[in-house]
Amino acid sequence: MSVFSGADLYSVYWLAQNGRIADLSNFVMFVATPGQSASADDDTLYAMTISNPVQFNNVVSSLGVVPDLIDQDYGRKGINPNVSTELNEKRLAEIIKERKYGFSLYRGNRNDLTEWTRIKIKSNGAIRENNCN
Amino acid sequence: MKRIFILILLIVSFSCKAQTIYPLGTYDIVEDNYYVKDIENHHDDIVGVWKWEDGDDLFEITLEEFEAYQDFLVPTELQDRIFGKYKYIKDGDLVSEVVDVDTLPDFKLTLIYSSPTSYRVFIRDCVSETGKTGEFILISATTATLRLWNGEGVKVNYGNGLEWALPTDITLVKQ
Repeated sequence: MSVFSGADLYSVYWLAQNGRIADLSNFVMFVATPGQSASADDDTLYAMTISNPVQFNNVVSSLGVVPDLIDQDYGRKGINPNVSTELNEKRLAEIIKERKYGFSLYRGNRNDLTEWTRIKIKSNGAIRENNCN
Repeated sequence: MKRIFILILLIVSFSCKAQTIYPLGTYDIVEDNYYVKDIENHHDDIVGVWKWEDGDDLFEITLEEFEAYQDFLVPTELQDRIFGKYKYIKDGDLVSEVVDVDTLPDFKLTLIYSSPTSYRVFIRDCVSETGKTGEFILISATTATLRLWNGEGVKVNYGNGLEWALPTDITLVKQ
């Protein structure tokens, strides 16, 4: 999978529900993946922060005890290892917005770990990229 | 009076925002208010009871369609969804049985359309309290293969420590 998996998201919700995240506002989760092929050019780097604690806690209270719920949601949304990195990225940003997961998604530059771009979905469905540097 | 009438008309027109209908397998939808509908009745091909038998072993799944199912996290999104239940008997002994067909969030089995002959599977094992993903492929009108595997990533504090109890690679026959 070229982006955060459903298991990754569930694990963050579980950690929060069980008091394992001391400060939601300073929490950052990273994932590095080999992308779609063996080529290093396909490697991906993403980060997530909890940008909306109200939405995040709503999900914690409704999803926290059902570990496979986000997996099936990924299936419904078409996020899987068989589609392109770009499509998985867009669909993950869409699902974060639609489901009000409370996260913000960032794409990192694998060659320069100080370069991060926030990935959001505009109202017309297009991706909006904001450079964070 | 005329102003009141126009005001009412405006309120009604805003509240009656049209719901767009999309076929199964549509993923990148821009609207907030939509219905992913089984327009071509593909679900009819898989709804029902499917059984695998091998000696004293039996695995049976029952699939039901929930039309215009309303997702509890996104109430403006309707979908025709498949949820199911299962029963597993090994060496003549009942290993696991799901009696009711539950929807979200307590589902035990759901199939999501990929193509007319292929569905993504998400199933929860009541013995180990873990889940697997997989693929349900229609080979013919009465035969389908079911293959299950672990999903991507690692979940913290997942399951109860018992081993996965359900078969992971079988051929089912429609009853």
